[in-house]
Amino acid sequence: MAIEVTPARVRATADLARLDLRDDEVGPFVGQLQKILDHIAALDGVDTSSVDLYAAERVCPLHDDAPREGVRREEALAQAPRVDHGAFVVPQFVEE
Amino acid sequence: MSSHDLSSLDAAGAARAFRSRELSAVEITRAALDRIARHEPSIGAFLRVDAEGALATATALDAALAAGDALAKGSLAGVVVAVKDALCTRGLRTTCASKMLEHYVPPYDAWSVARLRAAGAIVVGKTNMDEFAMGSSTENSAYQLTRNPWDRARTPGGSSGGSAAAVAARFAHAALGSDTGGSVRQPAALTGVVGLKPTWGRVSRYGLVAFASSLDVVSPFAASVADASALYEAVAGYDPHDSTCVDRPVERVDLARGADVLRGLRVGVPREYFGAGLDADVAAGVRAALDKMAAAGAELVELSMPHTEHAVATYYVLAPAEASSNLARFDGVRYGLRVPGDNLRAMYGATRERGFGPEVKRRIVLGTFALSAGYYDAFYGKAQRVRALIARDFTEAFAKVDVIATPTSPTVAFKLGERVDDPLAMYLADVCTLPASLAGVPALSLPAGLGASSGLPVGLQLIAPAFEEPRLLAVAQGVEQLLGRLNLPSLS
Repeated sequence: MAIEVTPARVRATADLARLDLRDDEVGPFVGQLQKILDHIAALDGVDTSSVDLYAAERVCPLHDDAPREGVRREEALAQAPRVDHGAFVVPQFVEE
Repeated sequence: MSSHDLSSLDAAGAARAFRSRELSAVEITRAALDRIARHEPSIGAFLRVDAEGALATATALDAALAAGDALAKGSLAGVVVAVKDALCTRGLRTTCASKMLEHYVPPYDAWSVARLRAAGAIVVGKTNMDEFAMGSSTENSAYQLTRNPWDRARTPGGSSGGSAAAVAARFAHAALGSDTGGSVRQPAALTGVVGLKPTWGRVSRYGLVAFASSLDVVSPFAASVADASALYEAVAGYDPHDSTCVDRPVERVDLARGADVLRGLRVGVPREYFGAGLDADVAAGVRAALDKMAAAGAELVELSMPHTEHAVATYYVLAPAEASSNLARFDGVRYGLRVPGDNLRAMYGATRERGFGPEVKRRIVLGTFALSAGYYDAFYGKAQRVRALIARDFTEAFAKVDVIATPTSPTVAFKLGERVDDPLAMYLADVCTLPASLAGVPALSLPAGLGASSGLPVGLQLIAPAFEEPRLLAVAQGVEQLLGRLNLPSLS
């Protein structure tokens, strides 16, 4: 699939990933991503009609539903940028 | 034993010297720390040297030996190891070479690190890498360059370049890295050491900072096949923490046959790996190794693996897609960097803008694009199907041969800075290692001498069917015996 990479497309895709890009990053990304996507476009020509991705029987291993020791709460919170009353703190996102 | 002799010890030699009480673990560790102090400034293999932790472990080992405790009887007791900074180390900062995790101190050890410690290994420090393991030259580290001990103007490869350089410079007897698309085999080839990527699922990924979960494999580096095998045996096996870690016994590796193992061995030589773009030094080195294998009784079988040419495109859809999902966790909430914002969205965006370097951002955008509505089937779905065809090439090849032999890297070590502005050229450095990653089969790189014109190491890659690490290592040991081990550079 031929894709034209534009600054707007780069920004819109980065936005989906919650990633801000600086103006000086977007310019080089356009050319670089275009080159990479052009290379990837060669996959279009590969005959994959013999592949059924869902044919293989896969077994998903299950654990016993039993408690086991993990990382302690205070250890987990110790790495957080901001905590209060044993919880992670983020900017308010629910309107009052 | 003088400190000069100490630096020539390999892992097996260090373990022997410790067990026989010829050297104490503290003496072995101090020798490694002295060598690091002398030469590390010109190499840059380590992001962090943990002298205090290493000496504490060594002291405990010496006490265990005196008391007859089990720790001193571990298979790696007295062996100094370096650990890629993508693997969590309890109480020891783990940054993944990213500003995002600059101050992150893991509350637990990665499973593989815990296994090394339980076997008596001494962790001497955390090694440099491409940020989040994305790169092939270690130049994408947010912190420093790592230089190739063979030629300091050149890259050690990547992404586990620091671990490879640490072994090649004899700062450590062995090291752990992680191999997603060649990140252990390619730097092993470029620095003249042995790098083994086990079967996907053979070694737990617990505590490995995730990049592309369907491809990531914790993998050892060492100066010899026997040492790589010892590390492999220490880290392989089931771990319930990782639901993709396979619950299957680890077969013992038997290296006793030496080059005899090559007699009657069917070695597949796929023509697609020997096409345009292969350095003359690499082509000649690999061909000479194959000729010696044939002279020792191996049967060389020319093969075609027709989907090989699509591996780079396939990988650079799937790995960024998985990365864009895995790296969503770095949002400034639970750990790592936070850049304040007026609202939650602004905080996410600013944190990720500041915390990630250019290659990581490029791959997040690429992967997000491949997974986005309207493009998912054309990119991600198509790449998954081509991946199945690449895996089928291996299944069909292994119906005819016992192992496959190829170059590890199309070139010898390239110059620092040479490819940083051209991501696609950098991606093409992985062309020989990506197929085995996509197929999930074990593969190993070992030195095939020095290039006639460059004087730099050439890597030979051997590939075996899934879970056939014992076969792969036995064959590699045979080839190593035929070709001889490289004398690692003196650094003086």
